[in-house]
Amino acid sequence: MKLTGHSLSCKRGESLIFSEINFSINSGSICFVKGSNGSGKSTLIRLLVGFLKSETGYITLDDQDITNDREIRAENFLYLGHENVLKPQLTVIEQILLWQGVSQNTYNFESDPMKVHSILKKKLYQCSEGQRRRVALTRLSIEKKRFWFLDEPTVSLDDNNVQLFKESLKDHCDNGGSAFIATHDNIGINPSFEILLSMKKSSTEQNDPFI
Amino acid sequence: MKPFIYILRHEMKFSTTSKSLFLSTCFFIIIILTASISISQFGVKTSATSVAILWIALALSALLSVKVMFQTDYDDGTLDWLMLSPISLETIIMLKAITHWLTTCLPMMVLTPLVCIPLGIAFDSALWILLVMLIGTPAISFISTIGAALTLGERGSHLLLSIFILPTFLPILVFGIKISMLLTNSIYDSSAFLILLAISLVCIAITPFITSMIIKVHYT
Repeated sequence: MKLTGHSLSCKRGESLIFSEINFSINSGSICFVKGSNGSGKSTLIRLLVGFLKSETGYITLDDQDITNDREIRAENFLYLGHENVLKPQLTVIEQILLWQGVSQNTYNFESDPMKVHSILKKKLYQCSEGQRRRVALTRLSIEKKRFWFLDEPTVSLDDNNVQLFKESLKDHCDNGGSAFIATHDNIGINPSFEILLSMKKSSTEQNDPFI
Repeated sequence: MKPFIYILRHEMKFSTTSKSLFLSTCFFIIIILTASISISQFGVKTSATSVAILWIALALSALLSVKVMFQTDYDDGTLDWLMLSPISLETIIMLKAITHWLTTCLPMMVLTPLVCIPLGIAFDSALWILLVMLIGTPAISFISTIGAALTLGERGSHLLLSIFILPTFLPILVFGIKISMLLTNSIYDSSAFLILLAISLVCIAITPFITSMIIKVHYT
């Protein structure tokens, strides 16, 4: 499967955040989205999953235009942003069961890619930030979607857990999946493609003689 | 089991364990008690005022738990997840409205025969009022989803929400109060009853689509 973006751009109010983003990504490859703070990494990721509208251009999946196709996106895309998508009142196992039920898939507790077996009975509000992130990342292995769109997935993970994440990412790519990752550091992965976003001055700033 | 049953079960569990269920039923009882006591001093408690108090108390208490419908999901990213889930947004909104009805309107309706005692409504009329409420309250839950979606992301917008949702309850209140009042005087107005039923059915049919459109616009 091949996901292609054709001259995507995004505007927030008057200011242009980025423009002319072109990429093409095949099954089994990883794409990094890099750039300084405020350059629009999260915006690009949210635009690709369809939470924001692109000003220009379109996105295709295997030559089919999916810019406005919610069903195909829901079938293939997974988004994990800054929020962990966890309900603090639930225990870890209840949260995993909810994800399993909705996606009609099962989490492999035998191999347990994110090593959550020791905290299954713990309430999520009692978990540490790193543990919550680990639970959030188990959703990647449950939903079994082809394209992962991750925004800073390794935030608050320690080295061991970053290693676990890398292994599950590698596993995902070996099974024909792809990932878009907005990140600052390389976390020891060689991406097959990189989108570099640079800060843009807003159009009003450029036209304003007083700035 | 179908995916949406998991969502419904989760929503139900979430709403029944949160404080808003307890608070809204308490609020309902408190409004009725204060209103009936303050009116009884004048000795002019008529069936019309009692019934109106009952319905307005119901509408106000139902509003209390509307804000949490989408706000917590929006804050913790669950709404993002639901947008990319195999369940359509309209179904999710419908499930939320059903949960709101089951956890907010239903408990108040169960208490209705009880709170009719201080209001001076006879028990058999109370049962008829209950039937009218059963017809009218789904509309309240479904219309509320529109308000919850409109104030999404707006912190502390409880008041704003009440200001523009309460007027939309007017048709339901007008017909609900009218039918209930006539019933307490043993008059059966079937045309008003059918209009209330029609309002309810139309709300159930169209609000999920309106609300989903609002949420989509909010995103893009």
